Amino acid sequence: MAALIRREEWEVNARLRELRMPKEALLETVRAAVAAYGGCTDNDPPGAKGYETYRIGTRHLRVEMLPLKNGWNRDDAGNLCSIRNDEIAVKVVILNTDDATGDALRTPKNRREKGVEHERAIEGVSRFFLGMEPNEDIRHAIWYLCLHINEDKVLAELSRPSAIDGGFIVAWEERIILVAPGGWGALDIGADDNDSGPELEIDVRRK
Amino acid sequence: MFNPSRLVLARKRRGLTQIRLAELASITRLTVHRYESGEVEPPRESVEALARQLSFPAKFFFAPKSIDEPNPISASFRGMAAMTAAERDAALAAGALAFLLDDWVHERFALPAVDIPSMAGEAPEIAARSLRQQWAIGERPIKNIVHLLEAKGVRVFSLVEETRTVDAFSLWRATKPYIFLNTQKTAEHGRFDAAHELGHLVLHKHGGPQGKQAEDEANKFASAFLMPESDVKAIAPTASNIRQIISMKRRWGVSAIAMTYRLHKLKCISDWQYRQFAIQLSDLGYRRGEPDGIQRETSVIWKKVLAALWSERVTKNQIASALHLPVAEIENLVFGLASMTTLDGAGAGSGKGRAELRLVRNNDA
Repeated sequence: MAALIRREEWEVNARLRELRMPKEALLETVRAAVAAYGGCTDNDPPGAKGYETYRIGTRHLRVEMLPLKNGWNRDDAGNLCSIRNDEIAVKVVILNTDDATGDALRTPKNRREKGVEHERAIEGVSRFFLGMEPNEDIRHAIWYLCLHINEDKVLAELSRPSAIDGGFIVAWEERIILVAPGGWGALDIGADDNDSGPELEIDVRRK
Repeated sequence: MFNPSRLVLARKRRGLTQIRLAELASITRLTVHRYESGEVEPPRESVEALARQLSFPAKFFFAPKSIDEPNPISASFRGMAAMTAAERDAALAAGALAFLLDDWVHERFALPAVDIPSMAGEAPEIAARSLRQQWAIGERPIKNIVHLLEAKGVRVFSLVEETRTVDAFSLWRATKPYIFLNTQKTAEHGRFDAAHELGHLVLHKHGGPQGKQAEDEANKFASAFLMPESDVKAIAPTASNIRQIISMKRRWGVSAIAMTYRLHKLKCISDWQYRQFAIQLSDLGYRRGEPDGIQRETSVIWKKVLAALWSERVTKNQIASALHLPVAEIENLVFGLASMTTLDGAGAGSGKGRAELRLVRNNDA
């Protein structure tokens, strides 16, 4: 089943309102994750960039959402670190995804294999949509704040998965595009010399 | 005739207390006090002992011309909070020697006229923008702020102080503006110091706020003057990582920390990003220095003056002799701003450290 994709400003904002998540709060989380990614150097262990993105993304999502007092709480149950809203039965987890993120024509996939806790969360939702009883302890729809950060290329979407296979998400129920390809302004600072003022003529004369 | 005020000046220049000078010259503190107050004229041998200990020519103390000394109240110091009285007095004494040198140069050269308006009472950001307008430099980065200051009639001198606490200071001497820059700091730091002091000259010519408030205003002025809001927002509406900040700081010729601060003030980055970038910059060594920094700005006026003097076979030794000053003090006043090789081939750095500026406890006050 094809995912329902929301990418126009009005439909993105309307859906995010239903989910009680201000777009600016999500973008602020993306910016924080990008800053954390940028703090890693070649001397850090491999995987540091991905971990920092996840760690700071998760922290910042909580920093942004919990003070809103609209039902969001921190939840680390089952080794699935999320924000949870019992009133609308939603959980949101940070996920590092590939460069199909934000691209309506492609299907994003997580970069690293996920464990059983993700499978249970995703399958629980699938069972519900298939008209079956969800797993007893799965009462929240899981959404991922998908982040793809690769140097200056930044992509993001808030999406609800529908299928996972071998630890990788293979299908999505709904995708809300936050940063599409080309949507994250790369900076062109320009050459220093050509853009600064002219040399000054300073007259010094012997009396 | 012995000039007591010159003894006080030389002692302060060396950062010495009366007690310490008395010890070094093997006389009593009371004797030093009497010499300095003019109560007693020192015998020739005492003058020579004092001159030796202070590394000044004995003739300096007999020059008839009274030295115009910068007033501590009218001088605006950057980095004032951590500075001791001895450090401040030593820097001000260097200023007095600079006046001597400047007068000597003015008698021989016509320099650019002063064009520094007073914008007292104006908000620092608005003053920075107005000054850019008045000087017709638009919104672009300032290529060389020392050249700009000199073109507008500011006399720029070097401070070669062996302390991290004296960054720069500025003052008006009648109608002439002076800026003293510690050329031991990074080039980026020096540019900001220069803009900061320009802020004092423009905003605080006739007094006004003192202390922290004045420093805050000068900082705001410098930030806005070097990194104009419209240019920053046009070129760098946001920043995602440190790499971008480092590209930006090269464009505007400021430190990475100053660039980050400005981006935060202009809301181009969030509070959280600001904190994160500040931590990352600190980790990368940008609080201690400026890795891969820009080239230090030098003075065009000193370059031209020294070249003209050299063409007339006037050496720095001759200038020092005419002013009865140690050669090292002449070198220090232009150190880092011009190459003294143009004057006698000795190099710009020979003066650095020779002044033997010592930090002492001021325990005779």
